[in-house]
Amino acid sequence: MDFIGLVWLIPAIMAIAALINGLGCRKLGEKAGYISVAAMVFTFLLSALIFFQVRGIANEADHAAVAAEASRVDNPTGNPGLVKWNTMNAAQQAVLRAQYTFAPIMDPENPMPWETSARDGAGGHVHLWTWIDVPSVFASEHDLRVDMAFHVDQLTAIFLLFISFVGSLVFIYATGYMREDHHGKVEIDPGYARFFSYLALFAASMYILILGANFVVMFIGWEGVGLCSYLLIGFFYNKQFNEKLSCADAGKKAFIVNRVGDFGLMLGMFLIFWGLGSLSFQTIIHSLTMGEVPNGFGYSGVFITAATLLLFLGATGKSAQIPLFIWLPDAMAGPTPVSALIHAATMVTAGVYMLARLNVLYMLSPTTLAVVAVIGALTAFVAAVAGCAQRGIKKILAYSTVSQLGFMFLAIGVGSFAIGIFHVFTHAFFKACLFLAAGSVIHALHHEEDVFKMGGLWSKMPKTAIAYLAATIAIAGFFPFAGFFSKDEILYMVHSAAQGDANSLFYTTLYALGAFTALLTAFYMFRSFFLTFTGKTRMSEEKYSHVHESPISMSGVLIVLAICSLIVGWVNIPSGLIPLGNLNSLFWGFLEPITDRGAMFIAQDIYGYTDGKVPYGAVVVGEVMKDGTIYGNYHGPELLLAILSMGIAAIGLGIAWMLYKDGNLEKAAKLVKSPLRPFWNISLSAWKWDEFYDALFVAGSWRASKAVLWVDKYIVDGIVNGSGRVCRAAGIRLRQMQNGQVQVYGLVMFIGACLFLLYFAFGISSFTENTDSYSDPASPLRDTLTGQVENAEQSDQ
Amino acid sequence: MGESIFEANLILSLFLFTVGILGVMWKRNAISLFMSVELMLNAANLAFVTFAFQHGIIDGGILVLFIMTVAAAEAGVGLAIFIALFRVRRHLRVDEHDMLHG
Repeated sequence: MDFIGLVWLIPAIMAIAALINGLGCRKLGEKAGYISVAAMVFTFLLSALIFFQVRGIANEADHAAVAAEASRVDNPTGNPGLVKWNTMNAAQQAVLRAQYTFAPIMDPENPMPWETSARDGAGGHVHLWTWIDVPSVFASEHDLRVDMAFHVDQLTAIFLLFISFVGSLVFIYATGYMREDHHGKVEIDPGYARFFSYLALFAASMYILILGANFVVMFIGWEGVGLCSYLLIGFFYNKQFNEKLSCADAGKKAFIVNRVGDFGLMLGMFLIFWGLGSLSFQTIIHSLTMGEVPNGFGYSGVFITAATLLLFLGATGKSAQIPLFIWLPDAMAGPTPVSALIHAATMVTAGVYMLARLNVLYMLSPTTLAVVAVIGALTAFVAAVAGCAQRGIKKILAYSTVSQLGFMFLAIGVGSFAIGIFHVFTHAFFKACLFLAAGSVIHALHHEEDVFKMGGLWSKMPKTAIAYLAATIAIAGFFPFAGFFSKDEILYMVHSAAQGDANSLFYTTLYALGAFTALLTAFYMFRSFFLTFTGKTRMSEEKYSHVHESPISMSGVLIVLAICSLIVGWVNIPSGLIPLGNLNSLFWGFLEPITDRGAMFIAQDIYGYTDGKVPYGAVVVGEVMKDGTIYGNYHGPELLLAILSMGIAAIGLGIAWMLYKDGNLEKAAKLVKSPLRPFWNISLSAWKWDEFYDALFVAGSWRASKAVLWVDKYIVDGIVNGSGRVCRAAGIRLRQMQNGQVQVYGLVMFIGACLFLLYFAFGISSFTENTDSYSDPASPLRDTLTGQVENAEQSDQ
Repeated sequence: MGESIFEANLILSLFLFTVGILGVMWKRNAISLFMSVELMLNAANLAFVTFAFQHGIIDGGILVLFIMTVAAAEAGVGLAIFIALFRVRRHLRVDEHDMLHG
């Protein structure tokens, strides 16, 4: 059956669920939760079917590719790994192009149902209707044509799968989280249906974001998730989040910071349309790889760099990177399931998704990629440092999310889009697990979030503790948990990139930063685990005795996610680590046709290499590939690096163990007073980033608006009020002339008539002495009175 | 017709007009006011007729007929208003009818 054609049902179902819950807010009660969960599970089932269909098509395409490989033209150099593009003849080039580059896809008038050409995206293009169709006015401009269309390929299928899976679990969890059990008396949150309406709307938007076949449809989803994020962060709108912000303020902050990014995203879109004449991803990528592109849109072109940087600004907003990451820690004002779903697993990965989707564009601009890598590594480091001294359990997780997103962008910055997505994938599971476990603790402790006031919860809530531990091991990167495979692969990619002759120092620095961040990650995550679950409790006896494990709807979800945190990494085991033959790098192999399109294009058309396999990661550094010994044959010491990074993580674990395992805070307090104090202060204040923005932007715009206010108050209002006052004063004087005395009116009229008469009769000549005013046509009466009378007198005589 | 008659007529017209103006300005009773207005109209009529006669052009004479017609109509309307006004206010002193002041 053609499930890909039904893909529009996925967002539609969620939107309908949102509508039902939103309209029937008060009447639905607990049914609202079931409606949203049912819709979400349905989308998960459909997503799974779509995923398997896409996989089937991809396998067929692979078989076709293998057949093509078998009949491949002879290798003229005799060197199997290394065929120079420019040494081949046209026929050979054509064969390779057909294999590796983007086959012509979409004739918009006549969309093909499938793309099954070898090595190309496997999936479908679901055209719903033509949305915007504006013909160009001038010949030099492009027609603007935007279709309401969804595109399904491997990348979309992966995103659909894990979003709907994690989403379903979070929805189920939320049905338990949003109700309180007071000694058998169930109490549901007054905004229960509103909450599930927002969640469903969020899911619909997220699906639209990843399914959109062009920038505009993606942008609907992009703004939709931003809106839902705002609504859900401010869900407890009448409560205070911390001493500075109310929950509603936190929502506003997220929304406004995201606007800055969206501004960049839109400018990037405009630039792309201006240069390439389309907003459809397929067409853009197609024209970049196959067609003639205008100046500045080729490799390293200034416009492609500008456009990708602007789009990346959008990604930094949505995915919480420097300089726009400040909203995410405050986004924890929302209910915990929201933090788990939106601010950890799905929405914040939208930026990574967009960059992976546009990998051809990004590969065309080495400058942008370097910027992405630096921003990613810096964000990972800065947020990891900030996470080390936080006290709120959700705050720690928030900074760890920012840090992990930084890792994803680091991967993308070295050209490993598939690995970035892989980290998105694994992170979605273990971070959702962490957040939901934290939510379980917060729920059990009646909204206590301070880890310093917890401790010793292991025996009270064992399922939650085990889930939290599993996810902590995963995020810290210990074998064989999920985070190990993705994070280690990222570091390995960065290490590969450092093997080139040029920029070696640059990438080595990034690698060192990433590795150190891994240490910090292990430290702060285990710190939060030890403080929460082990040692002696720091709660009051009475409160401690009341703590109990969460209901099955929550703990069951936690167990599922804990198992996922263990196993999901196994889908992409690199052969350098454990040789498994066909089972190595399944995830990467699946995504390769989409995410490595840019790398292949650069390798073939820019550097002239034709071997299909491009060393991912290394491809950004042209130097690596120019060196024939490294190209295609580079196998770094992957095992060694993996052991090294696990050792680094173990150090972090060890420090946390020593300081916090027995729940005694004095050791840590002593350490804080030592020379490490500045580090602690930086961490606690999160680098004073908020204060910096407050001083620069908030206070700055405050001052600017005060200046504008002064202008408005005293100059604009002055003119307006002044003219009013003049009129009023004049009116008071002038109204006295209208005294109701008809005789005075008569007198004034008479005087006026006399003046007119005088003016017409003698006025002109007496006021303008020296001019010849007798022929002045402006005084006809004078002529009548003087001239005609004279004439009459003459004729009379 | 000699110059002296012509001038005398104009002077008479001017005199009548002046009397009319002064009457309009000084008289308090509405009827008197009205009579002064009629006086001014008749002064104008006299001037028209004089000029028409002097220049031998009939236009002035025709205009006089129009003015007399209008004056008659105006007198009818005006007196009607005065009667109505008198019924309400029981007097016709124009300086006291000043309710339309600003």
